[in-house]
Amino acid sequence: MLTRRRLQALRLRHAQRSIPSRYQRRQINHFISKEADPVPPIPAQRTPFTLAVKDNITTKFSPATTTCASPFLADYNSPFEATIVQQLRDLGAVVTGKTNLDEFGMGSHSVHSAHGAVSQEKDGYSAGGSSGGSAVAVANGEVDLALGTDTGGSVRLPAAYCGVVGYKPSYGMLSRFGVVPYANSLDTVGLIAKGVGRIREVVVRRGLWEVEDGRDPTSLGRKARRRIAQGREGYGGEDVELEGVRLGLPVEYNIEELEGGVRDAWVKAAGRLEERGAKVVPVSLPTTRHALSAYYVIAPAEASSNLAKYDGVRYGRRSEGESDAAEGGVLYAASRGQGFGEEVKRRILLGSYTLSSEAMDNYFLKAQAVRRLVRRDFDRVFRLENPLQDEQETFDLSEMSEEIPMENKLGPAEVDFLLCPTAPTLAPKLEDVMGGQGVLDAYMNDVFAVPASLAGLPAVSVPMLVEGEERMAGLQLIGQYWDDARLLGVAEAISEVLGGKR
Amino acid sequence: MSRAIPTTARNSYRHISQLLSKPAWSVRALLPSEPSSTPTITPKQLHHLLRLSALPQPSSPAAEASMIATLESQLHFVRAIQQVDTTGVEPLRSIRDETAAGSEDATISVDSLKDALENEETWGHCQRPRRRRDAPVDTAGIEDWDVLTTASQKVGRYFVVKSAKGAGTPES
Amino acid sequence: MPRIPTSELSRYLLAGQLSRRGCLRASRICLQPVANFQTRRFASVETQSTSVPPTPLRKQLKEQAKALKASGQKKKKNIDNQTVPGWELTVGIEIHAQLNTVRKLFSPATTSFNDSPNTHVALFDLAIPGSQPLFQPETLIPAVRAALALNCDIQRVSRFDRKHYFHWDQPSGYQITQYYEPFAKDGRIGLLARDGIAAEDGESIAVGIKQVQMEQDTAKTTAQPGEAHWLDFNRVGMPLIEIITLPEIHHPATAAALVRKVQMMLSAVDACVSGMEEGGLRADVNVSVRRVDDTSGKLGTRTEIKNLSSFKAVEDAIIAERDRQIAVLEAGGVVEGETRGWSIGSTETRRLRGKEGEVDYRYMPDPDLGPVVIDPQLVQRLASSSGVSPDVETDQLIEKYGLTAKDAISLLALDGGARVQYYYNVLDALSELGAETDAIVTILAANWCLHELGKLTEVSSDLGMTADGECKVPSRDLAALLHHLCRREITAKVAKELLWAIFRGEVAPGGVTEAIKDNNLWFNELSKAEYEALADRAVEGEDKVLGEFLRFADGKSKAYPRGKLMFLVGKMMRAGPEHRMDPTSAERVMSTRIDDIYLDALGNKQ
Repeated sequence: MLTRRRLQALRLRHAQRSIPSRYQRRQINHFISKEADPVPPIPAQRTPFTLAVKDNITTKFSPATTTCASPFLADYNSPFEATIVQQLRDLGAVVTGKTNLDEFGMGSHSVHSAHGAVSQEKDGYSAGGSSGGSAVAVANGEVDLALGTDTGGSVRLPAAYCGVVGYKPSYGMLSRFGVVPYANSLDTVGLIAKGVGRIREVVVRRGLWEVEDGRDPTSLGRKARRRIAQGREGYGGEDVELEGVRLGLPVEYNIEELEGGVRDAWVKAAGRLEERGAKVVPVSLPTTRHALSAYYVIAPAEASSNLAKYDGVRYGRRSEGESDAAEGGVLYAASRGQGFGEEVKRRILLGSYTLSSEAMDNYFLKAQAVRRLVRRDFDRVFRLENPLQDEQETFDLSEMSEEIPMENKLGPAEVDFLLCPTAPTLAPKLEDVMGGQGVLDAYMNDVFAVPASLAGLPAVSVPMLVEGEERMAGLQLIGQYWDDARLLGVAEAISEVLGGKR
Repeated sequence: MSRAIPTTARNSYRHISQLLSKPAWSVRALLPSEPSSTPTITPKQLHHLLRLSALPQPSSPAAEASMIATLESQLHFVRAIQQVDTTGVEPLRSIRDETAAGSEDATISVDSLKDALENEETWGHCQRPRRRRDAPVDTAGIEDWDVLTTASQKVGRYFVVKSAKGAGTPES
Repeated sequence: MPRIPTSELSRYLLAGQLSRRGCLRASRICLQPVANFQTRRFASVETQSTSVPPTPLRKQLKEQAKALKASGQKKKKNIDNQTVPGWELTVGIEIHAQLNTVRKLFSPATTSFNDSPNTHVALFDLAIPGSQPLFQPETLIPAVRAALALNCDIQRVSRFDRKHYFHWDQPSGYQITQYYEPFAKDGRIGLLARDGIAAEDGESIAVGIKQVQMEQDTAKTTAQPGEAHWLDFNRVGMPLIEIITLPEIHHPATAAALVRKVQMMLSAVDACVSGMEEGGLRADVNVSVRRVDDTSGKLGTRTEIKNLSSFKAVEDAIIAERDRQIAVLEAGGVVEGETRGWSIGSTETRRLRGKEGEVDYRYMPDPDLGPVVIDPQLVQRLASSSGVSPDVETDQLIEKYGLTAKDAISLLALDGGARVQYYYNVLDALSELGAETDAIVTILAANWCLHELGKLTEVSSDLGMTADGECKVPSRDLAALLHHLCRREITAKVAKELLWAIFRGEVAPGGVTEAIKDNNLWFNELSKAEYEALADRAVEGEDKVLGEFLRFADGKSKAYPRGKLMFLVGKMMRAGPEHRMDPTSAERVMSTRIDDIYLDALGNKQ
């Protein structure tokens, strides 16, 4: 049996393998820094709620540090605060602390951290990553709401493992100003809570979805928001009925590695929703097979670029000694060698390779082309159009798998949302994750989460029961771009059907 | 031909269950099944990549072999994308409004630069443009922060780097 | 085998005694320019040369330099420097120019020059984690004007890319530039003889511009003892344009002329207002050589020389690098594609960095920044508000005002473009005074604005010239002065003295005419009779001198004794009241009297 002591030792040993010993913190699990006297919200009339902030989102003064779980930024005080944090404070948030994560957001189990791995309170299961700390803080009831970042599933996956709700908005909806970037074209700020209602309140009813941030060049413009919202429903905050909602089951999400219990839960959930009047149809997203590979070209490439700024000169830990080029005469290599964990270094190396002149065409540019095909797959199956381009996608029937039944002679069904698992398995044991899993094993967890990230689509994971298991699995709902309001509404309805908390 | 949805509960589970009876593919198949016999990364290439990334060289031959093996397995994993036919497909660089309307929003016009254009005058015999330098510039919230506060080393108002000459040469 | 110039051969043959003058075929052998070397006339000389093996170019140059040093002669600027026989030089230039804007390229922090360090730095300029770039569209105003001045096509859509490399002057670890899709392409710049191109390029040459791109400037670093560097990030992120020419330059002087002209054109459209000397404009050159009889159609391996900071350095560095590459190739070696540097006063470039292949910038489109979309109407507006181009202005000065090309260019260059404004002000004032501004007047005014004003600065270097063309000699006052001079109301000598007086502040503004009046400076010219009387006095006792004129008149000598005439005129000027005499008039009277009277008188005497 896994004792607490053994778990701690394992955690430390793993941390030792990746990070120099002086950066280990034995006690800190899901929180890296806690605010001793949390600042009450300034707008007194708002109902205050507690908020945990993932430690790759900057806060100023309360708490003062933003470490990204990296040795590099161990004592880093950001001179400014992220827009999303300010916005939530204005809505009544009381920030109680910064949560633990995989360093700079790179990982699927929140184990690659300078502060040691995060684990769920119960029995040493992986909290998922990279927003594991935030998911645990919510699951433990310590905070009402937690901020995370979702680049390739980093909010949805930990939510699924921890049995809570994790929401990734449409790309460009919530400001990234102050969010330390991992991969700019994929990073989104995400929200974790016990129930969908809390998230819907903040995003839809309180209007966070509407606000453009002029300081974030990827924040969707005001005019575009207005334009696109005209083709969308639900932003008035009205409840959504399941009756008549068309849910697509993407057959390519049925992989060999999908745990039987999770598959069954998926089927059961779909069946129960049908009973309530939803219509369940199969759809095909052929490029799903290549989405994961494309993601692991694009994300590390952008990461290697974003991490080039860490050299210790203007901020961050610096190597000791007379010269910044002491390590083999290479400028900054010493600081960067000491400042980054192993997983981060692995991804930087991979990214440098795929961007190098010899590999650029066949890896990076190729992956970006595959990315467009991934998005095209989604556009073909959704009833709603992709508002980001003028040309609309039609299906080439010859490309379609024969197993997909046709709706009519024009093609297969078009759906409102996709329904699928969030992850292929339940939360694994931390012991298994840290005890010699290959580097690539963790990548495979992201297989269902990554496609929505590549396409910038809104997605939410709600917990569903699995027969014979105490742990819950995540059920994922994916919508067309900017259909967040309806997505959250349907998610709320689904949660109710599945017996989750509203 | 449209398939009518069965009305009984058991039947709906069955039809859905049937849809998912056969796995479509295996993600584990992306992993390399055995160490590659034809390595694509040489030690020289590894050293070059580490230098490009400003990361330290491997501390031992074992570490070097491990780094190469990791990188090669990662490349094997992602190389699957090369099987996809992407002829005529534009790379998707970012999620952005790419409609004609969006392009119009983004267009920089005479109107967008109204203030800056008013801040110049024509002068002299040849009627040449000249930017006026007397207008006050608002830098509140932009330049008024403690720039050097996070520096580990500084001299007065300067940041400091210590490096032998030649280790990193000026570009432009 | 490359041929050896006769100037070299002459040192080996006939024990260095090959006479340059007066030998059998003197008119053809001596002092042929190296470029014309390939003629058959030297056949006989060449066959003799096979007894002495030709030495490689580098050794020759070294020995030449040693010999020059030994002889104590300074190395003369040799027009032959522009070409090396048997070799073709190819040069491409990349110019970085700081754009004249209020704010930086991707942050709203302000541009500055030599302000207190690290006082104009936004979060993004320091690459603070979580900060993001914000394109400042006002940058397009100088950028587009610069590209239009270089005849480029402005692209409606352009994008930004990250160019990755580690250096302490690059806080993000990458520079944001426009590698794949720049905002301007396919331009061209025309260079004329008057711009100082090499004689070998003839009257004019057009050099293509591949593209113009916007990019960030880097931090300023100051080297300190102990291998430390102090960093000032004020300059980081300031907007630059990089202008990339096609490799269509073949002579070093033309390369320098191109950089000089680009600087002038950018300044004229207010795009870049600090020049090479202030560091506002920098040039990198790519140099390669290949043999003239190379049929492969490919250029040689090129090297890059970075950070040239003066026009002279551009020319000198190209010459040095060309010669170095030729020496390497002649010795049977291979030119490495590398980056080299040049310091003022060097004789050879030095290696800065290894092969191009070692530096991989991994250009990646910046995922945060959207495309730059430029409205064609904005381009139109900027084009129509760029003013008259320097070329057109120069043409005007030459064709309309009658200046020589040399004078026109000097006038435009002086006082950072203010001197020519002053000139226009003077012409305007002359018009107002009712002067007919014909060629005589405009040329006179130009001479005074250039040369007479120039003499003032020999003593005190400050004319106090403002950008709008006014100085310690108000343009109205100079105009008044010149007006009187044109109407022969004052002599040139008086005018020059008055100029000095005005400069020293001794004449009140607008008080030129009064000063002339009060000081009785009007030119009260002698009458013809008075001149004639002086002439008669001057020739007394100068029979011998008059004899020269007689000999000329009789056809016994070939040249008119002009010097003797001036001697006689000088005598007249000294004898008479100089302030009432015009040397031209005196000369006219004297030469007429010589022809009409004195010679006859002389003849009669004899």
